Amino acid sequence: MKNKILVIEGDEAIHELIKIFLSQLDVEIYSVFNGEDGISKYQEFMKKGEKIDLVITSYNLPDLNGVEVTRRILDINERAIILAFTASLDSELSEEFRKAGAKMVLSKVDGFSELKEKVEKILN
Amino acid sequence: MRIRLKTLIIVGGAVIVLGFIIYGVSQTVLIKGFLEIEEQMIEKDVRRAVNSLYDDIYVIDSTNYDWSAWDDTYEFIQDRNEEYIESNLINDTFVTIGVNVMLYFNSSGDLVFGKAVDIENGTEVEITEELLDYIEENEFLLNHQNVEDNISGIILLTEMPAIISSRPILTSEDEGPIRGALIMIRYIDEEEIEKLSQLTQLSIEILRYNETEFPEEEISVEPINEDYIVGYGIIPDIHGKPSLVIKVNEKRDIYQQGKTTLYYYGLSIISLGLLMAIAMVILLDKSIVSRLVKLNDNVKKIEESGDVSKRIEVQGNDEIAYLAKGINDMLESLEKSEQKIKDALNEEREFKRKTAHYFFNPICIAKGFLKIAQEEGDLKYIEKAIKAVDRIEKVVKNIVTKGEISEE
Repeated sequence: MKNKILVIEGDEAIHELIKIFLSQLDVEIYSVFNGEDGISKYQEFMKKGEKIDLVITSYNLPDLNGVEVTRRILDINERAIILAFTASLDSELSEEFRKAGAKMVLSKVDGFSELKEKVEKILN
Repeated sequence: MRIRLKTLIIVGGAVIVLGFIIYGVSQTVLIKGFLEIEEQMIEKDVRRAVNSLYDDIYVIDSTNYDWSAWDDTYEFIQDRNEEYIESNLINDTFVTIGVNVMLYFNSSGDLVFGKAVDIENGTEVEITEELLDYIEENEFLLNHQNVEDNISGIILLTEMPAIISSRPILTSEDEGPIRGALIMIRYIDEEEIEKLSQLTQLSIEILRYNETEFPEEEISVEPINEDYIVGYGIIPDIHGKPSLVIKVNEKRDIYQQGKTTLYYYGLSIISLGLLMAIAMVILLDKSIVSRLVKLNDNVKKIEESGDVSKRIEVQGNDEIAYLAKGINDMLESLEKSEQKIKDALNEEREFKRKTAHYFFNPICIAKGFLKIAQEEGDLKYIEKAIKAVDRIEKVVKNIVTKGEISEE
């Protein structure tokens, strides 16, 4: 059974790149473009009794910020695994994500290859 | 050091010092006062004792006057009749009038009659040679110049001092011519001193002036120790020279009373001082110290919490209340400043995050597509990369032209 990854990201091009890079892994990717949709999607999977193996979220979303999204998903499922994929190099923001419960914080500057490696590591 | 302890030390110290000063001054004033009263009382007693002796001299002299200015005596000195002797100069007469010796001298200075009686047991005794020699040596005792002339006072004899009175022998009408002198002697013996003591209710001793060292003053007082004091009164002899000293011994009741008074006074000062100190400490604590301590605790709590939005409770309308209000004003200023700093930091953070979002997002998109294009050789990814670069260009343009970060 393929691992399910929920990507919450406001930028369409980044969604496309994530899909391209992660397509080499045996995963199913679900893309949403804002925070509320992402939370609803996660809840929807939970209700169906299906498991989202990894949530990748950006910080700057059209409605909420990624820290808030992280907190609310963990309220739904405290065992949820969340990877923050953010453009910011701000250590304070990394700390905010970690405090909210994110398992890993990765900068977009590190590139999509790095993202692929981290995802692979988390899923394994 | 804690302010409470400081207050206690300052108030306690001040009360102790004040207590010592008050007690010291009071001790000087009180004891001095009691000593003065004591001295005055002893002086008064000594005068009383001296006066009682002078009273005795006066009594002997008065008796002598009764006898010397009397027709019977006036006749007797001339005819020396036995009847006079048998009627008047019997032993009981001496005892009754309290005279030890009576000497009748005629105008030539010859002793016409003389008799001495021990008035204690009423028996006749011999007239001492020393007494007769003394009178002979002091002729003025016999040579009265006029009818009013008289001599009385103290004489010092070897055995004991004595009261002497010498008066001219006159008629009952106090007229002359003077037929001689009548001398009466009263020895100042133990009985006489005992009589003086009982009369004055004082412990009296009579000493010879030349046998001991005494102060020069007519009346003087000298404490012996803490319990006894003596007073001295000097009595001159018939020559006007100091002859006898009346010594009055007394217990120092007034001085002891003064010490007792001072003791209770000291106790009162200590008790009042303690009460005052306790009251002052309580009042100071209630009105100042506890409020300062509370103020300090509140400031400390705010300092420890770092929460400058907290405020201190303001009580009263005095300097401490003004201080609390001042601290609250300061906290308000700090809170505002802190908020401004927070706002500025938030703005800066948001700016940095927006900058990162609008620049790094397209950059990493461009890089991502370029990498794929490089790997797969597909030109469509280069176009996507160029689009991402265009986005960056737009952001830069907005910053330069509009002064805002956006892709719109």
